[in-house]
Amino acid sequence: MLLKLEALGGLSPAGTLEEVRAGRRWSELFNGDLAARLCDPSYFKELAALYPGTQLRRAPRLARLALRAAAGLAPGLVPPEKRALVLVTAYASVGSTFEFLDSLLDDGPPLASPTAFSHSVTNMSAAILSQNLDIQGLTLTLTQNDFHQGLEAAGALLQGGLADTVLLGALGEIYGLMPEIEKLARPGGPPPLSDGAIFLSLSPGSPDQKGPPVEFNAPAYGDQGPLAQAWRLASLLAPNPARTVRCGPGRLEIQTREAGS
Amino acid sequence: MEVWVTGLGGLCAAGRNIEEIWASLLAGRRAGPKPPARLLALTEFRNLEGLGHPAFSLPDDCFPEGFRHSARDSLDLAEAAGREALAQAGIAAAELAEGGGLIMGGTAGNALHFLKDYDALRRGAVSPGQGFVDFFEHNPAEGLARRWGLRLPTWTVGNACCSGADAVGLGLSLIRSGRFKRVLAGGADALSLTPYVGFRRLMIYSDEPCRPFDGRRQGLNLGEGAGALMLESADSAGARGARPLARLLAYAAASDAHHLTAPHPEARGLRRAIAAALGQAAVRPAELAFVKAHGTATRDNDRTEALAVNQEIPGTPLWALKGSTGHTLGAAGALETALGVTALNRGRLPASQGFQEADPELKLAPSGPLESLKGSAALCLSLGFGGGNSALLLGRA
Repeated sequence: MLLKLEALGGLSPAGTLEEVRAGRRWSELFNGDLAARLCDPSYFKELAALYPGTQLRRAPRLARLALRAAAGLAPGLVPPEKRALVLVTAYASVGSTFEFLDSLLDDGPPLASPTAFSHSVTNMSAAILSQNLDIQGLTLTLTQNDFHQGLEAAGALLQGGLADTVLLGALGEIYGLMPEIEKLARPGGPPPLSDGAIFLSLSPGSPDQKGPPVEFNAPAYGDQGPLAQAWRLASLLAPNPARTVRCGPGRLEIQTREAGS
Repeated sequence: MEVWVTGLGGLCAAGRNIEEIWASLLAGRRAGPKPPARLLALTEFRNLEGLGHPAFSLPDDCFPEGFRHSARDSLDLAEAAGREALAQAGIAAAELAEGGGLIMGGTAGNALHFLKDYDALRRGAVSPGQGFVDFFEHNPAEGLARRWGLRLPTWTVGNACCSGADAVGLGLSLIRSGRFKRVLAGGADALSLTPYVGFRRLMIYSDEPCRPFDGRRQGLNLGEGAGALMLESADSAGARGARPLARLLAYAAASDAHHLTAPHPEARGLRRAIAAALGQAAVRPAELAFVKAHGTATRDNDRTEALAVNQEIPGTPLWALKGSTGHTLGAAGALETALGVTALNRGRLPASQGFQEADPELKLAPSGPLESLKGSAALCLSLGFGGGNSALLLGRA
């Protein structure tokens, strides 16, 4: 299955995708130095200028990460009902879920926060993205460690004609006691990169425009969480003007927009 | 590409497997929902005010290792439904790994709902709470593959109350992509204190047994359970001599892009999902034997569904199941689709429990019981928080 990369966007503790690319700071993302760092909240100040404001006032931090990373990726020429969204996240909204648990424990069931509860639902970031990017096709949130299956899902939706374009993303946030919980319950340690978001805007590929192939060994990064896997894929897709990235083990291929041109 | 449903599995308060649930539905039995003692016994709240509202619980022995109030409970339910579906299809678990995939939807079962251990950690505990370990080891799809010793692609769908339906729909899409010949798709959710309190705080939880589409409806009751469907390409299933229970004709999903917890007032997304599912398979509304509604019994949900059904498929017999099962959240779409397959396959539609008095505003009411069905197809609808709307179209075998 051949997919075409239309655009990329991301936000990480090392900055936006554009800043990472310009500064050639890819290695910082993967060497563990940024594992415990948060994305700079100053990026959120730009949101008001990037979106019409729907729900921004109440959007939880995880959704704000997603909105900032996906800014400019709305496929304007594709009708809203033919736009789909696939989000892969290991833990969904850690902040909102813990806020609800805190309110439940501190205030008791009669006063637990309904806002935190609704924001804690696993697909809330997808919902907020769909509102702000006017995505009216399928929005699919996968709560798992493997980003590659998100790619499979996006490919199936495009191949089956359920969507003309898919915004595929990975998303995660560091919040509260979560790093401690990971250390206690997962002796192997937390994923190397847990905070931020990365998005690929995908459409069906064109076999006559395939560029030189590059391999992406998704299973090799399978234990690092979906966000780290997606950034590794982005590091192959972003810097080169013409290539086709082969993503094992299902042999999905992604061609960069300039490939073959 | 034609896709068959070759096996079904499910459990909920109405029964421990599809046959038990079906018999219960036909008999019009309603497992009266009551405060979930098992769930409340695990809480350490001194003040239970705001708790004690009814839920549709499973018997304790449905949790083989004991109810833990953790992610493992949902995985236990997923495994029970999955095994039943595999058995009916005549497929060994190991055979799933041969060109197959595994998809499970969920809400509470794949969320950070480890309240007790989180509380302990807040107070300074330094040992890994079992709830934390359970969360990491019992992701519904990944955990099921691990339990069965399978190395195969897995997807855990976290699409709120559409999760089970979207898991089935994703399964259809993956098989039609030609990259998979079979997929076990379903959903599972055990009762969890987090949504139990959360829905109450959103003021959409009923103090009495729920009444889908009834004029006096006050809201939903939670339930727990799982549903699973064995989906196979017709070529693959036929080659091994399997017979279809039904055909899965189409899947369409549409986002309202409107509100986080309320459906679009004009049912924008749901109407589009219904029309797209029918359009994909070139099925006319008159060919529908019934529509299985999401039917949560909240004022908004039932009003929205009524609007969509009246506009897109007027006159189609309506069936609502949550008066018998409760709202099983991430399981609902798969469990209720499995029961939709059963109804279509057997040509009968049980009554919709909980409904007594029509709501004039809705301009429609549940049908049934119907002793025979006229159409050749059936539509199963699911709605979810986040503006999700899903439609699965079934065809007679």
